[in-house]
Amino acid sequence: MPVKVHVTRMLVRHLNTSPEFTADARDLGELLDVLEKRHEGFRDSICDEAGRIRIYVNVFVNGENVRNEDEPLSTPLGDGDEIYILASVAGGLP
Amino acid sequence: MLLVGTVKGGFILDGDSSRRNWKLRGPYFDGYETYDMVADATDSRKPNLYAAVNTWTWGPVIYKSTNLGQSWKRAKSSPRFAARKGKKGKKGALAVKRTWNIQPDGDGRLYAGVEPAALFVSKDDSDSWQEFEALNHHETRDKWQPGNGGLCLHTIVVHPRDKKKIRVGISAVGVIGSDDGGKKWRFMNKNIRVDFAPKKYPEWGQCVHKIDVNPSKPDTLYLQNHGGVYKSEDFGEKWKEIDKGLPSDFGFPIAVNRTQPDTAYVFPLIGMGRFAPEGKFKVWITRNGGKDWTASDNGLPERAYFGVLREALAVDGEEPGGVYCGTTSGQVYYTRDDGGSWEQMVDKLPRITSVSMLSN
Repeated sequence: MPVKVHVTRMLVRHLNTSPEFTADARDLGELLDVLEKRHEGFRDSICDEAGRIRIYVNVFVNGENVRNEDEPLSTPLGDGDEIYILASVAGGLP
Repeated sequence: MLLVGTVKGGFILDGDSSRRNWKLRGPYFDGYETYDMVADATDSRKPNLYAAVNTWTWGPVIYKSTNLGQSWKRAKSSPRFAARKGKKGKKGALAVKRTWNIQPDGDGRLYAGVEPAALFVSKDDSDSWQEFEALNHHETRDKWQPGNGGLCLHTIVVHPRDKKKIRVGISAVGVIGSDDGGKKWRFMNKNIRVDFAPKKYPEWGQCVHKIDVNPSKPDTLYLQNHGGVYKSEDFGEKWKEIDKGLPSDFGFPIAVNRTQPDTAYVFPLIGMGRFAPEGKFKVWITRNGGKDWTASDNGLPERAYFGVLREALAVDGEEPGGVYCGTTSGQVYYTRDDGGSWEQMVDKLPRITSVSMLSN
């Protein structure tokens, strides 16, 4: 079940990844595990060690932001799904 | 080489042997908040540099340089709490928000203090980190309260001769120590005052701001508290207040001269404004172990309303001693003659969170 993943340039720079991936995963948590194997530190950059999506990270699955779901990492993924991993706007930082 | 952490990345100032001429490099770490930058000179021929970089997006990460800052790499791992049964994914589970302090012990271990308050150690140059379970999940933890900067473990002092003795400072919990390498921990706040609770001398709940030690007098610690400057001559078993003569007993940093163990430096601040009393920017120096203090301000601005954060005062090991002071307005002031006169090394950096010296 390949899905397509797009990541923000900030993350590309932080982890030295490519900006797009295809990967096989049944849910979001599994996708992060797959990408962690390709790029050490990937999962930790998206989630803290308690499994919560980091406060300034948004994850869109087919256009829907899942970060505020009860169990966002359990979001099911299917063939052809498109995932965007982006930093949220934080213009208030001094 | 002066390592300077700021809220917008890290910088390095390369000095010559006269300590007169400095050249600025940086910023590093993409402008992310950098709370500490240190050198581990365990192998003096090949010191590693480490930086505590707290990215607002991707979490706190440790960066490492093996070529004196010419290039930096994200460490293989950064301090993280281990999963605890029943806590995973729950709102209350601990997760590292910031790394505040990195402390090499000179024996191959690298300690890291984080927010929420916890201590970690790496024995493999930051490839992996282990928790100090008995401290990080101390039976009193649920009652710990944060200071204004957060509930953070910001100070780590390892006994220079007995590396199993560790003292840490947590705001606002106080000094906690271990004598067995971190298996057991106990509060060590005897005689340290609390001005913000009904009980003036509780077992814990102090807001210690910084502790320093001169390795040649390893049992003598100097401590800047939220209220009061203190000294211990038994590595923290008991403390004595030594702030008589200072214009304010509030401040953040404290540093001890590396060749003169009875000489220490503080930067008193007004508690509410976090700037020097009357805006007179002065470093105060004791040369007799805290019996009295004198102001040192020759060359420092006469009127300035910035402060100096807890990690932003450093000393070198030269004779006469150099003292380096980073301000919340982005200047570094320094003295090459142990406070006789001061010069500005650099201006217009972002708010400085840490300074640390790697001597040649």
